[in-house]
Amino acid sequence: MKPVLDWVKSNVLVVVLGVVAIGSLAAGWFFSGSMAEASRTKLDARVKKLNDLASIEKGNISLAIPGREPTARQVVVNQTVLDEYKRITDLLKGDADQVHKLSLERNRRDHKPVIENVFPQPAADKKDVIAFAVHKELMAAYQRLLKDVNAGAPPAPEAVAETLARRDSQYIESTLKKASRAQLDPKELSDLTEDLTRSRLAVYGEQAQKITVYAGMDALDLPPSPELKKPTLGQLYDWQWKFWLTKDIFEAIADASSKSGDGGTASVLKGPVKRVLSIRIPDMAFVAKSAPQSGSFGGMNSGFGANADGTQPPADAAPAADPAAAAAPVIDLTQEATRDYKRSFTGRVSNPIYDVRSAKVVLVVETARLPELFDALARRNFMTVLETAVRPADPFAAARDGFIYGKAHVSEVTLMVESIWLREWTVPMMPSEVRTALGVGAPVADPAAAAPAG
Amino acid sequence: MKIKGIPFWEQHIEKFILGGFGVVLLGVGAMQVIMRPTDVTLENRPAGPDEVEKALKARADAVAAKLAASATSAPLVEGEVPLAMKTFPNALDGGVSPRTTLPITAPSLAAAILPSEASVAAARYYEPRMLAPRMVTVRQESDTLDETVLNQHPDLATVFHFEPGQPHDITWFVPVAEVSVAMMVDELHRAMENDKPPLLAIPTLWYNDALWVVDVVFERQELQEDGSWGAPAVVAVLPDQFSFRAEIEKAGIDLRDEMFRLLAQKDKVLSILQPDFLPTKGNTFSAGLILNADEPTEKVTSGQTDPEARKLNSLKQSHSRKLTERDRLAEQVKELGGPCEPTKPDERDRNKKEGAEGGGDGGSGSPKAPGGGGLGGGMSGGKNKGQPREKEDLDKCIRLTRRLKNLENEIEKLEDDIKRLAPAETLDGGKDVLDLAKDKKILVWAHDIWVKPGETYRYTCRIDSYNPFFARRRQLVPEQQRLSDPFALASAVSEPSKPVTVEPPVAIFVTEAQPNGGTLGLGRATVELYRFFDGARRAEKISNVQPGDRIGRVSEKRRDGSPSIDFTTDWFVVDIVEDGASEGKGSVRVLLRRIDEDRIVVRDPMSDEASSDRARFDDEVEAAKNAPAKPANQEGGEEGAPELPQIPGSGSGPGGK
Repeated sequence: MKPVLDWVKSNVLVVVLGVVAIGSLAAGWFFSGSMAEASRTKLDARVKKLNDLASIEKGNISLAIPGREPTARQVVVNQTVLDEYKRITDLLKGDADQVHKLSLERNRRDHKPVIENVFPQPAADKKDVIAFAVHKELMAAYQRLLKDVNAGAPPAPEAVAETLARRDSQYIESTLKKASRAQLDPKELSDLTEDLTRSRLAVYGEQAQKITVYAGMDALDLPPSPELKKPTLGQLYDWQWKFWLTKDIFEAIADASSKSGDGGTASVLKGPVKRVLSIRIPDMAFVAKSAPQSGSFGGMNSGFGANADGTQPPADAAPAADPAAAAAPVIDLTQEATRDYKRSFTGRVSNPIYDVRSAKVVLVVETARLPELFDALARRNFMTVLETAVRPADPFAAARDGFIYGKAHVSEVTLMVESIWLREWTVPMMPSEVRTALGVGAPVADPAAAAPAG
Repeated sequence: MKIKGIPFWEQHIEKFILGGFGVVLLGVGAMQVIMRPTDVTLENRPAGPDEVEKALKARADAVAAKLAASATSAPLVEGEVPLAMKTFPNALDGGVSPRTTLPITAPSLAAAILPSEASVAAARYYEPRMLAPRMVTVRQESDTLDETVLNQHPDLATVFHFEPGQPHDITWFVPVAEVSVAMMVDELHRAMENDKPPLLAIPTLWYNDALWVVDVVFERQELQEDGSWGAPAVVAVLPDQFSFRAEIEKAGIDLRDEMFRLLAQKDKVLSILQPDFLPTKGNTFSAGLILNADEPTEKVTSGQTDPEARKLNSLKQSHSRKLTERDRLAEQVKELGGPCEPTKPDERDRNKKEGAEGGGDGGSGSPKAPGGGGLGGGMSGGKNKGQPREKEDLDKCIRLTRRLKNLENEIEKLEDDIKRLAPAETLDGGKDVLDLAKDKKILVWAHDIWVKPGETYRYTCRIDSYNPFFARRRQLVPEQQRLSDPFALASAVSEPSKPVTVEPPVAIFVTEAQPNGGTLGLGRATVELYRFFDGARRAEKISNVQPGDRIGRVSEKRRDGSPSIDFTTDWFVVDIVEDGASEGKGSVRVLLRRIDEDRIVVRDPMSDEASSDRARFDDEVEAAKNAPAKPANQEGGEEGAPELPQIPGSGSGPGGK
């Protein structure tokens, strides 16, 4: 060790420089590493910026166009692209709004309550009489409906008898040149009978040419008289609803008849639908739920300011809020209209967007022209025929009763017709009990638990 | 420097250190070059700082360029933005069925068994074109209006300008036309099934397989001073005459049903086609005058000079006319449920009450009893049998019954007279009463009371029959739906009749003439004048009328107190000459001329003497002489004059619709 130390002492400079040299190497090694690391970090940051630029270049825009699969494109999102995107989305929104508006107009048509200011809640001073007034107006509205669609019945037997009596005397006096029936021989009597039979059928046929369809009040699902059983407000609303559905069905029948043939006036003989035998519309579920309470006025009051379960509020409760002031729940159109294909091939069930009601319609129809009726139902409103049962009809038995169906083959057809009612325009008129029963405003958790269709 | 004893390494230590540095430097250099410790991964490959910077700059420039406002890029949507509204409305109005018809799986027997009237929808039908009637003649008639008519229709006094205190003598025209009923019915039955498109016959049920004439429209034209004819004016129906004319314009289904009901009654049909005149004192007009006009007995038989023969002929004419009239009246009375007798006041009031309480609307409102048509039952004949009647029908029935009785009496008397003159003579029956179902041709007429004396007129005629297409728009194809609007189907208009001038009230017949004689030797003639005055035909015979004399005079007051009658005319005798072409007694001609005209009229005494009109006037004069004096209240029956019934559809005033 001493010699080393001695050598070091004698070569201090060399040693020091040597140490410095070696030390600088080590230090250089150390620092260059960290410097390189820092340099790499900076470079990485730069590279990251590069990647950011790349991501800017490859901006993803996805457009959901109705009727198409959603498409995504990679574009640089500049102002032009933003403008174009806005233009397209505005276009689609406007289009959707128009479709919505058209659908709403088509669904609502001219459907109005037969009496204003009854739904959703009548005035307090009208509660006792409103059922009778609604019933009376509905009956008048059904009469008007039959008249408007030119529905009618065979000629009255008395009118037929008078016409035939005239023909009888004319045939005897003018054609046979006899004074009375007593003077006719068997052949002449037979000819007279044949002539009168033809005349009778001609009278029936003439009536068939004057009307569009055979239908009378007995074929309709008319509301029962309030005198028999006092209805709730919900039932009154159901009556109104049934009238709207019946109106749509009859107007569809009239549409089908008016489109027939050569552009002449519609008649039983030319149209596809000859006779409406019956229209039956099941009550909505809320009608069964809000059955009137026992007692003479319990039923009347149910729904008229009553609680949802039909009980009356306490006597010292605050008076019911003015229904006009109560805002109808806003229908969220973004909600999904769920489908349940176990119920029907359309899968439609009542949901937050619309309600579904069905009707069973029994008609006499020209068999080959059934599609015209189906098309007319679809055109008139959102109606779909779910089921069809066909069996031959007997035109001769019908002719005996005055119903002339024409020369084509006819069948008695039973249809199950499904109709859609957009809540956007029906809910504001719905009484509170109906809204509650249909779950208006409440989210639908499960399609199977949705309010059942009528 | 001492280097001995210094180790080698010490001698060269600086070289070793420098060498070591050099090696280290080389090593570091090699490391920098080979190992590139500052490289980073750029796009999956190592890149040095300068490369990174370059790449960064290039990318930033590129992005900046793309971000620039003017930069364009690929469209966000290929092609046009699909909008639902382009298809949604059509989808809403479109169908859902994959096919428009279903195959027919069963035959339809209805096509073979149901009659076409019951099962054919709108079809094309033949449009009937009714031929024009033919004007036959225009008759001038005279009579005296019954007081009751003027009481009920005071406006008639302004039409006729009656003088106060004077009888209500009137003159009117009766234009007569012939209608071919058979051809009109054929038109209704016609079809043209071979045409393209085929035209079917109108279903008989639409018009009950009969011709229903709802109006007979005569139009009058007046000759103007310049020789032209004035504008046509419709001859109005008489007051109280049954007519549909006022309702046709605004007709509805109710009128059609009413028409079928009313025109099933013969008296209503006769009122439209062959109307009687207003009630008059003389009853000079009768349907027989027109209907029997073509009988041989009515025609002038030249050479018939035997007074008895002429008398017999005249009686037979009268008998035939009255038979025709009687048959018509009997038919009408039967239709009204008669014969009817006027009842006492208390009985009539009781009948009124009973009718109001229990009778319903009886009368003209009662349809025939129902029957037939596969519904069983028989047909009761005649209207109103055993049913209460409306007052108007009852009054009419009473009036017609009374006339019928008078006619029966007159016919009986005539038959007695004929038998007295010619016991072996066979008598013809009257003309059959009109029956549209049987007659091939019929005569129709109207009464034009609005003509002015001295004026010249001509007439045309058209027939309005019920339009089978009326109110059947739904049963017609669109091209024929216009046919359903009018209630009546108008025939073509006839050719105009010959012009006729309203002759003065005095009829002149030159019954005898001699070319020589007279005070001036210029000839003389005997003239018979007839005038209807105060309900009866009056005659005045003037002998020794010579050329230059004015025909006519005012008769003297009679011994029975009846007033003098003005038989003056505007005619005077120009000359009495022999016709060189004829020989014998029939060769004399008398030339007459009106004061204000140049036209010469030639009269043949033989013809005038044998004229049927003269014979008729003679009979009327005779009848007036022989008629018993009627008490003041006899005109109206036992209880005074019944009110003239208001018949629905009375025409409007003169000169038009």
